[in-house]
Order: sequence, then C-alpha cells, then structure tokens
Amino acid sequence: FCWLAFLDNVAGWPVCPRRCAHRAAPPHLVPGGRLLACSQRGAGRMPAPGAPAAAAEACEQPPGVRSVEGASLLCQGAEARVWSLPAYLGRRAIAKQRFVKRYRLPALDTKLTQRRLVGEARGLCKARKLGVATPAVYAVDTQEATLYIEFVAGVTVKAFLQRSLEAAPAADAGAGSAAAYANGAGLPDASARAGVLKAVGEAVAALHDGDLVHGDLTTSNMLVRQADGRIVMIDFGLASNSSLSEDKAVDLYVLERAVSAAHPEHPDAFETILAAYKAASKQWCPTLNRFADVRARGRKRAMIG
Amino acid sequence: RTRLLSRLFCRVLAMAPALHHSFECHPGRTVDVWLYRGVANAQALAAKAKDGSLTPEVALINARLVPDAFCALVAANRAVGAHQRGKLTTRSLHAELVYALAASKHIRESLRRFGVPEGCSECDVLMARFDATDEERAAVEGMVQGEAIGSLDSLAQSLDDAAVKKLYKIQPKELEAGSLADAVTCRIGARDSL
Repeated sequence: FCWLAFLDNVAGWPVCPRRCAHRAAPPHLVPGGRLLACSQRGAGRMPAPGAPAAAAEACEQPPGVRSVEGASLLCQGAEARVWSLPAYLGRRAIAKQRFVKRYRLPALDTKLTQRRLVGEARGLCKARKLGVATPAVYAVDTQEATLYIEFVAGVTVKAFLQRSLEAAPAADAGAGSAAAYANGAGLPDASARAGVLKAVGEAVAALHDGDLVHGDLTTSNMLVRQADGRIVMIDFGLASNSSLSEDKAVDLYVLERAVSAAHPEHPDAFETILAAYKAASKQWCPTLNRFADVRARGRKRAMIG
Repeated sequence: RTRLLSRLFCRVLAMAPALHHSFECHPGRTVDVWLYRGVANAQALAAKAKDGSLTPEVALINARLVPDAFCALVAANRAVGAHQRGKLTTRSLHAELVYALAASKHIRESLRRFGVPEGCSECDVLMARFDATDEERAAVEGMVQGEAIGSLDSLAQSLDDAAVKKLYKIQPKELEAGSLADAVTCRIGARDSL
C-alpha cells in the first residue's frame, strides 16, 4: 500500500511515479513542493522497466557486484536483490544483497538485516550438515549485507510442477527423470513429479529431524538441480533452531498453504510430500499430531501466554 | 650488470606459479599460488616466516590439508577483503590467508595447524603471495628447495582426508549433501557466522 497512491485519491496530490509496492511510508517533500518518488528515497523498490532503471541499479549494487563484469539482476524480493555473477573466484555465483529499509529505525534495521544475513549463512551450513543439498557459501559481507553463494543450475520446484501440467498424459519413458527435465529434455511426467515431491518431503524431514525450521517453505525456495535432479533448498533467511513440534508443524502448514495456493491443479501434491515426510522422519508422530491442530486453528494461535 | 644478469637468469629458470588469480571483487589485487612437493627447507622457511624475516613475505600452507584450489581462493578472498577494510585479525596479509583457511577462530592454533607441519622433512607446501611483481615471483621460486608442480589439480590426490575431516569436523552426513571441497568452502566462507 503506497501512501502516495492513497493521497492521490484523497487530496489530489501527484501519485508516486513508480507505483512502488513497499509498505506505507510518509511522503517526502523537497523545497519547492515536489513529491519525491518513494524509490528515490532508497527504499526497496520494484525494478521499473526502461533505461533509467539500469543506471539506478548500478549505483545500488554492492561494491563486490559492481566490480564484476557481466553481473545482472536476477530478481528482487521484499528483502533482497539477487545478482548473478558470471565469474566469482572463477565460478558462477549468486550475490544476495539485503537492502536498507529506511522506513525502519536505523538501529533496528541494521540489527534485523545482520541477524537475517548471519542466520541465512548459518542455516545454509547447518542444512548441509544434515544432509540436505544447499548452495555452498562463498563469502558473507556484513558491511554490505551481501551473501555470496554457489550458483545452482536448475529450475524451481514451482516451475517444475507447473511445467508438468503441460506434459502429455502418455509421455514416453525417456522423459521420465527430473534431471532430464531440468536439462531441458522434454516435459516431466507423473513419475518425475512424484519423485520430486518425495524428495521434497525427505529434505524437509531431514531439516526437521535436525531441529532446523526453514521458516519459508514454498515451492519457489526449492530447486531441482540440473546435474543430478536433487532438491536444493535455498533462502534460509527466516530459518531458526527449534526442537518444538509446534514450530515444525507451522513450517509444514506454511508449505501446505504455499503448495495449495501455487499448484491448485495438483491436489495430491502435498499428500505425496507428507507421506514422504512421514516415511523419512524419525519424529513424525508429535509433529504430525501438532500439524493436525495447526491445520484446524491456523498459525500463531498457540494460546499459550 | 651482475644484478641484471642474475635477474635474467632467475627469469629463465623460473616456472610460472601454479595459479594466478586477480580478484573480481577487489580490482587490482592478485594472488599467485605455487605448489611444491618434497620441500627440504620447509622448517627453515617456516621459522623465518614466524620471525617476519622472510622476504618476500609468503603464506606457507600445508598442501595436504587443502582439498581444492577453490578453497584456497575463498580463503585468499577473505584475507584480501579484510585487508581492504583494514580489519586484519593477524599481523600481516599472508598470515591472514593461513588463518582464513581454518574453521576455528583461535589464531595461534589455526596458524599452527594449517602452516607447515612441525618436524616434517619433506613436506608438500602451498605458497601464496598477494600482488606479486616479477622479481618477487622469481625470489619466491628461488628460495624453495623442492619439486614445483605446474597446476593445483593434484591437490585432491595428496589430500589427507582423515585430517581434514577431523580439523573441520565434517560428518559423513554432510558428504551426502555435497563434496568434501564444498563442505570446506562453506566453513571457510561462512566462518564468522557459524
């Protein structure tokens, strides 16, 4: 919700030219009465199409990214920009830059950003220790709040499942494997889809058995690696250490809602994941019991306090 | 004239370093890495490096504990980054490289573990120098008595797996998620966060 859009409707003031979608922030006036666009004040913004965006992006790149030739912006989320670096110490890498949110108090903002950054690096390493494939951490730059990690070639599970809809029902055996699809050889069929969903369940089970709660389980945060078809988990910014079955149940609930919202054409997708979770996890009983409770009442209603 | 001749002589005999890399994220900074097997005067070099009397200054690393050239580069990147910011933890840039290789934050222990092993008469040594000029490269190659290896690809073959797993505390489960080199890279890259 943009303040300026609201004001335009109410007071007839000019609307923010970039129609940025960040949270409400007070409008800034320069002497002369011209309203500054929210993006010009450095808050997180959607990349606007056209040439001016490129120049603006260049000056918002962290110095590590700026000096690499051929660095390009892959995507921008609510918290960070993801840059693709063609050569970082000789390998392809990803730079995830968390930007400054000026609507927050500066002290709180720095603390939160640092905590998320360090938590993400820690989560990536811990997930690896639990046997879940994650991108390797190459560097953590606390000054620029940037994380440099391995570039994993592959597609998100979201894209994979959406593409599997387009597969002909009578697909030939050759296009069966997830790895083959991720390499671009044909469309995934039902067996490949089932294999991927099973692998997702097993990965989540491994995380939960090691008391690592991902915090943001969605199909966009899991990749199917091109090389071997393994599931690679990414985006551990909201990850935390917790042995409570409540937290793990909420994690599963978030995944269920994400899967049902993004893939309504696969009504059995979450059931497959849950079955694989149950088979792979050693502590599935308390977690799944709690999960039934959470499903009934919703999250953040533990009614303890 | 004698100095010019000796320099030319050195240049003729000198081999190129096994790895030369200019850091993409720190423009203008480079690192040269040499791999030597069966170094006879490793203890003498290590003693000089500890005194600070080694010229030109190099980082001396136990080559059996480095799984990959990339791990060495990640550590070098950390060292250069700290140097650029003026936040070195050790006393020099080259000691910082050896320290960066370790998973622990204990400086003396890390330098001892990853430097030249004590009491070793024929060690495999990795030597690294940042921003080396041609004279410095020749001088580095001149001061080592050992067999120079042309590339760092053979690091994996001479790796002491058990020692690396013990030093970095790598469990078998982690090796299912990725290779040993990846596990070591994670620990080097994210050491301050862990």
